[in-house]
Amino acid sequence: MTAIELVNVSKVFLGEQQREVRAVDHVDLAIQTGEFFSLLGSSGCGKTTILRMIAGFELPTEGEVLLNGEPMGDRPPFHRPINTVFQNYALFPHLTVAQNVAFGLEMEGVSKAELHARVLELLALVQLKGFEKRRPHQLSGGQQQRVALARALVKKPQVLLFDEPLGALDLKLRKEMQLELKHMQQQLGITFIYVTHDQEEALTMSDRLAVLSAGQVQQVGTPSEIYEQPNCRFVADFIGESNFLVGQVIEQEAAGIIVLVDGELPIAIPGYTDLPIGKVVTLVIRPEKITAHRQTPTDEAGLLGKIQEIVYLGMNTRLIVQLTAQSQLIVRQQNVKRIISPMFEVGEQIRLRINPDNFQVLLEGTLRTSVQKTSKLRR
Amino acid sequence: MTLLNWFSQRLKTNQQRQTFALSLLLFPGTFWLLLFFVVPLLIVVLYSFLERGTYGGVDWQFTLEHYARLLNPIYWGVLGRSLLLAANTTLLCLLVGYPMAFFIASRPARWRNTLLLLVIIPFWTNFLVRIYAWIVILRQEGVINTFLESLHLVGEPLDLLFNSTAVTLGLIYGYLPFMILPLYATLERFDFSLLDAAHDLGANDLKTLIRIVLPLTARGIVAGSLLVFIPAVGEFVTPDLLGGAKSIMMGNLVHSQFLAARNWPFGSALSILMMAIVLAPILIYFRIAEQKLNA
Repeated sequence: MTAIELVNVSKVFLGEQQREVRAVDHVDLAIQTGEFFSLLGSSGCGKTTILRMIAGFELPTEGEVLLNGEPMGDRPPFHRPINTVFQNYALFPHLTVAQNVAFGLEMEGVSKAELHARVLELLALVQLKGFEKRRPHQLSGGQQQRVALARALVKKPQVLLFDEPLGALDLKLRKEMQLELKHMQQQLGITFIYVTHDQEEALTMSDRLAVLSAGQVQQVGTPSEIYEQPNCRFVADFIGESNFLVGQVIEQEAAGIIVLVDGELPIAIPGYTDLPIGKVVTLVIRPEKITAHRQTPTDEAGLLGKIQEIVYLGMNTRLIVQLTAQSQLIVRQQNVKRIISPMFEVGEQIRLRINPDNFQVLLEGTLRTSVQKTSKLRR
Repeated sequence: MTLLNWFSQRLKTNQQRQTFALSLLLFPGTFWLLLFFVVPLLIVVLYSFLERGTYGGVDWQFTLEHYARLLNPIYWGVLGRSLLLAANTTLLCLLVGYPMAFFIASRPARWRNTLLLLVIIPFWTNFLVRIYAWIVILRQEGVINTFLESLHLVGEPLDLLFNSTAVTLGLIYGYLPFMILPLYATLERFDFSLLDAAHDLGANDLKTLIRIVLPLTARGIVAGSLLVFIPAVGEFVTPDLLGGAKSIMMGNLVHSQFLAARNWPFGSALSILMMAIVLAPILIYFRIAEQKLNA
C-alpha cells in the first residue's frame, strides 16, 4: 500500500527582489507503507522542502500530497497523522523531558493515567528512563535526539519524518543511532521518511531512496540499484566514486555492442543490441570493480594503461591509470595481502581487467573529438 | 599613573589586583548614584517627617502628620485612579505591542532594524510636542471631530479630550516603545522552529501561543510591563495636558504639592507612598524569578 504519494508537486518561493525560486520541480514519488525511505541530495536540492510539504508546514504551489490515497490539500500540520523529528530537535526548553513527550498527547486530550503510562513507555523505548525531570539543556546531543524521537513516536504517527536528525552528532554516536533507528523502524513498522545529505547514511538505513538534484528526482531505487545501476551521470557521480568513459557504438553483434572510447579504445559490452551504430554513450565503472595486473608476455587480457599515481589507503590502494589520451581510470585495489613493498610503480604499464557485465551504459555524453581542443579548453 | 603603578605593584596576588581594578572601574558609577540618587532620596524621606515651612521648604521639627493625612480617602481615590490608569495602559500596551514585536522579530534579519527604527523614531521629537499633537487630534474642532462632522456622522463635536480615555491614549502612545523593545529582545532570541514542533504535535495556533510562545517570552512581558507601569503611575505631564479635573494622577498631586501648595513634606510623603506601591510588584517579580531559577 502507498503511504505517501506526491503527484506532480512543485514549490515556488519568492526570493530576493521577488525572483521566483523553484525549490521543488514537478516531483512524483510513491512511498510504501512500512518502508524506510530516504531523500538524498546536497543542500538546496529541495529535500527538506518536500519533507515540509508532507508534514504540512509548506503547501505545494502545484500538485498534490496524498496520505493513504487521501489528498491532504491545505490541511494544517496539527490535523495530519504525521510527526517530525527536527534537525535541531526543537525541544521545548521550558518543559521537562516528560512534559516534552507528553505535549502531543495532551493536545489529543488523552487521560492523565494513560498519558503517564505512555510517556514512561516511550522513554523506556528510547532508553531515557530516569531522565523524566531533566530539562533539554541538561542533556547531551544524543539524549536530546532520543527525546525528540520519543516525543514524535508517542503520537503513534502513521508516517514519521526525519530532517537530518543525526547531523549534529559525532561520527561514532551517529553510526549507533543509525542502526538503532533502523531497528526501531523494523520493530514498529511505521513508515519512515528520512532526509539526509549523507549518502552512506542513506545507503545503510534505507529500504529505498530517492536521489534529488535541483528540485527534481533523479532516481528512485533500492540502495544497490542506486549504486550499481545509476540512471544518469549525476547519480553515478554523487553516490560513491565512478569512472566515466565516453564513446560511440561502432559495431553491433548478436551478443552485444562494441563501443569505441575516445576514438581509440574499443570495449565490448554485452547486451544493448538495440543501440544504433554511431550512438554516443557513457560507460560507468566503479573503481573497485577493476583489477590491476602486472604485465606478462603471455597474458594479453585486459586494457593497457600507464600508472599516474598510487595512494596507499590502508584497506585499499588507489591507482590512477591513464587509459587513453583523454581518459583516466581510478582503480581501487583491495589490499587482501599485507603490502610490505609497493606492488606497482608510477609510470609502469599495467593491465586492467573489467568484467564487461560491470559496465553501466548511460545513453548520454558528448564526444571529445580531439586532444588539442580539450587541452585548449582546459587552459 | 605612576601612583597607580606603585599601588598595583604592592598588591601581591592576581586576585587582589583584579579586585582593585574592578573597584576602580566601579567608582565613578557608584559615586554618581550615591550623590545624585541615594542622597536626594534620603532627603525626600527626611522631609516627609518634618513640619512644612511657610514659603516652601521645611521647619526642622519631627512630625507624622503628613503620613496621617495620607489616610484621607481623597488621596486613596487619586492613588487608585493612578494605578488603574497605569494598569490599563500596561495591558493595552501589551496587547498592541506583543503582536508588533512578534511581527518584527519574525521578519528576515535585514528588515528588523528598519522596523525597530520606525518604532523609535517618535522619540526624536520632544515629548511635550507629541502630547500637544494629541490635543490637535482630539479637541472639539480637532482632526477627528472635523472628519466625523464632514461625514455628518455626528451632529455636534464629541468630547474626546480632557478625560481618562484621552489620558490613557496619551500614556499608551508615550510608553508603547518601552513595551515593544524588551518584548522584541526576547522574541528575537525565540526559536521559531518551536512553532513547527508544536503544530506538528497537534497544537493549533492558540494552544501554541499559550503553551509555548507566552511562557518562553514571559521575561520580556514582565520587563516590558514594569517599564511601562512604573513611569505611568507617576506620570504628570500627560494627565496635566490631556486629562480633566477628574483624571488627576499621583504625579499631578506630588507636582502641585511642591509647586502650587508649597507643602514639600506632604509632597515627599506622597512620593514615598507611591514608591512603596510601585516597589511591591517588582519585589514580587524578583521573588518569583528567584524561585523559578532555583526550581
